[in-house]
Amino acid sequence: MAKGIQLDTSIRNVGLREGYADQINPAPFVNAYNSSIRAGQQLQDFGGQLGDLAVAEQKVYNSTQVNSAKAARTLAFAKHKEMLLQPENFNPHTYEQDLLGGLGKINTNLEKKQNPRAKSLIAADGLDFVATQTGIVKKEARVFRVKALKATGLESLRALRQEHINLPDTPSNAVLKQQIDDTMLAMITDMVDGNILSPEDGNKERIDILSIREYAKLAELIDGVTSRKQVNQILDKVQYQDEKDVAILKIRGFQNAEANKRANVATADREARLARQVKEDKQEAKGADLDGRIFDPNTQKPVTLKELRQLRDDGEITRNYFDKRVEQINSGVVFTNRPTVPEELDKIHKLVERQIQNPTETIIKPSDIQDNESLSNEDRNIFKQRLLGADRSAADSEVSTLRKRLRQGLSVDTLLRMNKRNMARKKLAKIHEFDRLTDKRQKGDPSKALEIYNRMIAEELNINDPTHPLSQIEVKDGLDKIPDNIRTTIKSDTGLIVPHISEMAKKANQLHESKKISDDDLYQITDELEELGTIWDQKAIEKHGNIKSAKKVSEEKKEEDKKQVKEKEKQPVVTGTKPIPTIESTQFSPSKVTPREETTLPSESGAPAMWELAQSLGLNPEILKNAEYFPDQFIFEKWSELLERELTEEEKPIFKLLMDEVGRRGING
Amino acid sequence: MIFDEQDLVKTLKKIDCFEAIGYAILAEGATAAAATTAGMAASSLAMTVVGTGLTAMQQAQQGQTANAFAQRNALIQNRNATIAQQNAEFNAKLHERDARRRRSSQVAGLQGSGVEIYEGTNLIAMAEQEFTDDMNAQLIRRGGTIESQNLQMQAGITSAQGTASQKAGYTAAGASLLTGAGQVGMQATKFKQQGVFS
Repeated sequence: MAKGIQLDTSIRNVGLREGYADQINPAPFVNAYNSSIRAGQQLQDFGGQLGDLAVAEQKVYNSTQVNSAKAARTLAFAKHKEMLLQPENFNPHTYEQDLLGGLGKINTNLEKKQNPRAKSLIAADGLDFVATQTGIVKKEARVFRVKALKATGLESLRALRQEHINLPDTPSNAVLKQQIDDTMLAMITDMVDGNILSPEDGNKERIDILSIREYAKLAELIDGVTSRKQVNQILDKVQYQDEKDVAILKIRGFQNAEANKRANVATADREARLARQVKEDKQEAKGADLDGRIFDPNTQKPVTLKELRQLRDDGEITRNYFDKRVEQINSGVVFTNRPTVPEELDKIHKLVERQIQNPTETIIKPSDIQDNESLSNEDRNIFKQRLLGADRSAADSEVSTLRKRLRQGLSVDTLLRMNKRNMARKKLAKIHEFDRLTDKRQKGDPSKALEIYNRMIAEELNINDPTHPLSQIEVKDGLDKIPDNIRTTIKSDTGLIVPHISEMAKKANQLHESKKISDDDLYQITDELEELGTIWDQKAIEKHGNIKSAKKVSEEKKEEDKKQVKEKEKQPVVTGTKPIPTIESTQFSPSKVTPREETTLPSESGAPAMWELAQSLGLNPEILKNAEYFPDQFIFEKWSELLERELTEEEKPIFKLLMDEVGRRGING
Repeated sequence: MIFDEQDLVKTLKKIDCFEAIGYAILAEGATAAAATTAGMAASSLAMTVVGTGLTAMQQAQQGQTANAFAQRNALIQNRNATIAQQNAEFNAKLHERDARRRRSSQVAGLQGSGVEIYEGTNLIAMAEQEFTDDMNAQLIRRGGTIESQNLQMQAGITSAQGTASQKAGYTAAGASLLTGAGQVGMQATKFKQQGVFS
């Protein structure tokens, strides 16, 4: 080694950044999340959009609900309105309240089962509908109210007008008619003031009333006119009549003026003739009355000359009549009764009827009848009364015919021919009653002649009597309609079925009170009892059924008490005389009456002596009941009957009793 | 886009599951239309909630990931700083050895020539040479130190950036949650207003 070991000691420097580690770029890792983040955001956005869609859907749904509710509301409101306008439901005074109240209910119902949004929208729509309809309904309701008030008002006016028309035009009604007019006018004013009636309609109604009032007044005045001048004067003041009515009134007025002129003359003449006729009729009637007394040998009040003079001076009889009767009285003529010559009867009857049919002619006068010696006193009186009592008018023919039929029906002429005076007198009394009831001058009514005739014939034939077979059939029918537990009858002595009406009514009421019969049943029974009552009145029931009303029982008891007191007072004076028999009718107590019980007349055990007396005279039970009160005539006739024959031992005390009674009562036959 | 908006609406309308969901939610007696709408609304709310959650979660994880990588980079930078320090020390030591050799060689050469080097100007020259060599070695070390410090500082910044990214992720997630909640609330309010669930 020449130069030694060559060492390489050089050491290289290291670079400053030698050995550095590179940094990691985080971007890829960090950015990797961006997609996830974006996905989340998109999901969020999607949710948002879906939400918007849901909201939009819900809006459509709500809108549909609102529209549906609107349609339903309109339909329901129209239906409700239609229902309220039905005649049976319609009330103009509550129409508005009912309709708006109904609308409120409709709205409430529509809001039910809706979501809050739809509910509020429907409610708002409902309020809008209410707001729209309220004005319309109010206007409509006011129209209805006004129409109703108008109708009511006009109806009242019509009723008042009808009342006005129905009231007869008499002086006593004048004030009332005026009041009705005033009321109507006040009503019209009120209706116009209250806007119920338009001023034009009000004025028309007012003019109608005033027109009718004026027309009535004009007609009244026109009816009384006697000259054309008066007619013109009256019609010059017309205010409310149209020209046509005025023209008619004028024609009517002119006719009235002429007619009234003639009528005044005729009336004066008629009145004079009527006055004369009335006076003559009165004189004839008075004469007939006096004749009845003069020619009646049994009269209790004989005619004296003083009386005749007084009547002559008073003008109640004619001078001729006076002179004639004075002569007859002074000459001592006794006008005894004589039998009627049948031919004369027919002749006079025909003359009298001709006279009645021809009032303007003089065919026969009452004095002619009076002087006719071929007629009995009774027939003369009958003809004279017929002549004087008949209405001499054309309408008399019906009355005359009916009178003739009645006379025939009552067999007056037959009885007179048989000389049955008493019976004929009773029948003639009926004829006279017929004359009185059909004669205008005696305040009778000729138009009721047929009715009166039927009634009298029915009475004659005894049809109205409950004892008549027809009545019995009706009673049986009526009783059959009454239930068994109520039906109560009594069998009279003569076998009549007497309905005990008061007892049946009492039972019916008791059953009704105890709810055993219905109201309808009670009404039906009451009707039937009323029907029976028209046949069997209380008096008839008392008479035939021996039942007395409480009032009658009470009255009789009082009477009996009085009698007993009197007898006690008399006893010391009439000692030893037989007491005057009294009549006591027996009676049933209602409590003893049982349904369907046929009650017999009570025994005569408790009856008074008069009962025995009646029995002893052989009277039948019917007559005995009729003789309940034993009129004077009955006593007298029975006494007379016993007087004319020889008495048995049994009849002697009866005769004495009758004689005592005749004396006590002062019966002179 | 596979679906445009109208297609989506058409498709969704055909989905019967919405109706089923609606019937489950609504009271008895609800109509089909109401049930479909209610089901759609409920689904929309669910989607919004899920989307919001997903977004928030991903944003949070993104921040966490960014932070993790930043911390890793900071570690690398710190390591590089250490390497820079070591490299400078190595180079300084190498420089010092070379300088010492060179001066030793010069001393040996001079001394072999009989030059007194520990005296006079030689000594001063020698001392100057040593001082220069030392200064160079220190400069090398200084360069390494500066590099190391720069890298350490950079590592701190990187770490801070990572932390900031994580926080930003959380913030974004929170913001997404809030946005989603608001969106859901708004939708629910709309649904309530329109009476979807009544």
